[in-house]
Amino acid sequence: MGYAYYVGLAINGAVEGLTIGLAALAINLVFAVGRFPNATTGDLMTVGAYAGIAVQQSGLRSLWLQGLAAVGASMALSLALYLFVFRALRGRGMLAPLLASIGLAILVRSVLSFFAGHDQYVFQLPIVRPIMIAGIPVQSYDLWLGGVALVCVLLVMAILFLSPIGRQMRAVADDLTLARTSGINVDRVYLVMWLLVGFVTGVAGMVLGVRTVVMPEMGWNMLLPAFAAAVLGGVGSPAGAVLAAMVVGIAQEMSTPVLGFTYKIGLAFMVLVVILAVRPAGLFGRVERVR
Amino acid sequence: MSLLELRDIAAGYGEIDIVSGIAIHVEAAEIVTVAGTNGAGKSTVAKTVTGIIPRCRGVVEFDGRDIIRLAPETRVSLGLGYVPQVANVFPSLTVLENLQVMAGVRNRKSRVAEMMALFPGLAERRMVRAGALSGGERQQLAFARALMPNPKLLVLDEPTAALSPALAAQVFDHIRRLPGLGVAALVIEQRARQSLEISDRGYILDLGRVVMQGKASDILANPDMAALYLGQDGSTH
Repeated sequence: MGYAYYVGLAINGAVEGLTIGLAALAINLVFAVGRFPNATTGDLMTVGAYAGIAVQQSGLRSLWLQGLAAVGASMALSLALYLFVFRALRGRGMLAPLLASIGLAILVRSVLSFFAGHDQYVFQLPIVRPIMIAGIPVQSYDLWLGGVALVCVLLVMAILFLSPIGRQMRAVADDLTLARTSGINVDRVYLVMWLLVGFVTGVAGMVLGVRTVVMPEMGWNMLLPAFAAAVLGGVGSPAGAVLAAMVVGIAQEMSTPVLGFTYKIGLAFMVLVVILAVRPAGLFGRVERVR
Repeated sequence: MSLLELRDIAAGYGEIDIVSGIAIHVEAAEIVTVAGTNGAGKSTVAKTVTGIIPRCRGVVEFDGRDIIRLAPETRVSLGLGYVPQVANVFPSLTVLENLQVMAGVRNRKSRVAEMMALFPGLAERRMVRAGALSGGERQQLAFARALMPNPKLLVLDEPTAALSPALAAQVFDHIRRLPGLGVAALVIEQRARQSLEISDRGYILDLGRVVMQGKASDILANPDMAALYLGQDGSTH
C-alpha cells in the first residue's frame, strides 16, 4: 500500500467528512438559533434521499432532477416540522423540543419504512473509470459529490456572513431578547433557518444516498458522527462544525488499513474525546458572552 | 398628548406583581429619570415599555397608540428604542454588523456613517467583534445601535451599571445630547443624583410604587428624598 492509496483514502474521507459536515451544519444552525439539538436532522436527510429515489423510480434519470426533488422534499418537511411542532415549543427550554425531535425522527422513519419497506435502493449511475490526478485514481463521482457538498457549505456560509438575513440569524443566536428589541422579525428568521436546514439536509441526503445505499436508517446512522462534529467544531461555530466533520471523516478513512472497517467509527470518537479533553469548547468554540 | 404614557400599570413575573399602580409619562425630547432602591421595580418599568415583560396590565400609550399588546419588534418600528442593562450588544457580530442588523433603518449606509461620526471611537473598531470591546466601547455601541432607526424615545436600563465613574460621566454626556437629536430618554438609573442632574423630570420608585415625582431639580432639592433614596455618593441604595 503506497502513498497513492493513502491519498485516495484521504480524499474518500474528505468527501465523507463533507457529508457529515452538512449534517453537522444543520445541527449547528438549529442549536444556535433554535436552541436545541435536533434529532430529526438525519431523517430529514433520509427523506431527501428517498425523494431522489422516487424520481428515479418514476423514470427520470437526471441526477440533478433527483437532487432537486431531494432538496425540495427535505425543505418541505423541515418547514412542516417547524410550523406544526417546533414553533409551539419555542421558549420551552431545550428538553421539550429535543424529545419532540426524537419522537418525530422515529415517526418519519416509521412512515418511510411503511411505504417504502426495508429494501435498500441505489441511485443508478453509469459506470465510469476513475480519473488519474497526479498518479492517484480518484472516483469522478466523489469529486462531483464533494464539490456539491462544498458549494452547499460555502453557500450557507455566504448566507450567514454576507446577507442581512444571515446577520439576523447570528444575532438571534447571540441573544433572542436583544434581537427582538432590535426590531428583528424573529418569526421570519426561524422560518428561513428551517428552510436552510431543509436545504442542507436535502443535499446531504442526496450525497449520502449516491455514495452508499438508501434505506430508512441511513440518516439516523449519520446522526451521531454529525453531533460529534458539531460538538468538536464548537457549538455555535458553523465553519468549525464542517472542519471538525472533515477531521472525523478523514480520521475514520485513514484508520481503516490499521483498524479495519468495523472499528473506524471508534477511532473517530476517540479523536473527539481527546480534542474535547484538551479544548472543552471545541476546536473553534468561544466561551464568550457580554454580561 | 405625551410621547409615552403609562397608566395604572401592574407588571411582573409569574404570579407576582413587581410594580403596581404605576403612572409615568415622557414628553417629546425630554429626559426623565426613574430611580429607586434595589428591587423597587425600575427595570420592570423599562421592560414593560419595551414589551419584554412576561405579564403586564394597564395602559401603555406611545405616540398616541396603545402598544401594550404589541410585540417588542413592532414597538421598535414605531420609534421606541431600548438599551438593556446587560447584554446590550451582539458579541459575535462585529461593530459594523451590530449597527447593520438593526431593523427599520432607512438609508442604512448613511445612518451607519452618522453613527460612526457621532461615536468616533467605534469607527476605528468597526471590524472588531463586539465581544472584544471594552465596557465603555460596548456602551457606545449600544447607544449607536439603539439610535440607528432614529427612534423618538430611548429607554435606557441602568446604562452606567458596572462602569467606572469616568465612563459613567461619558454615558451621561451621551444622554444629555439626545434631546438635541430629537430623541426623548427614559433613564432607569442607579446613580440617581447624577441622572437627575441631567434630567427634566424624575420619578422615585419604592417597593413597586411611585413615591415621588416632579421636576428633577425639586427632587434633588428635597432633603427627605435625598436622604432616603439618593444617597451621598449619587447612587440609590
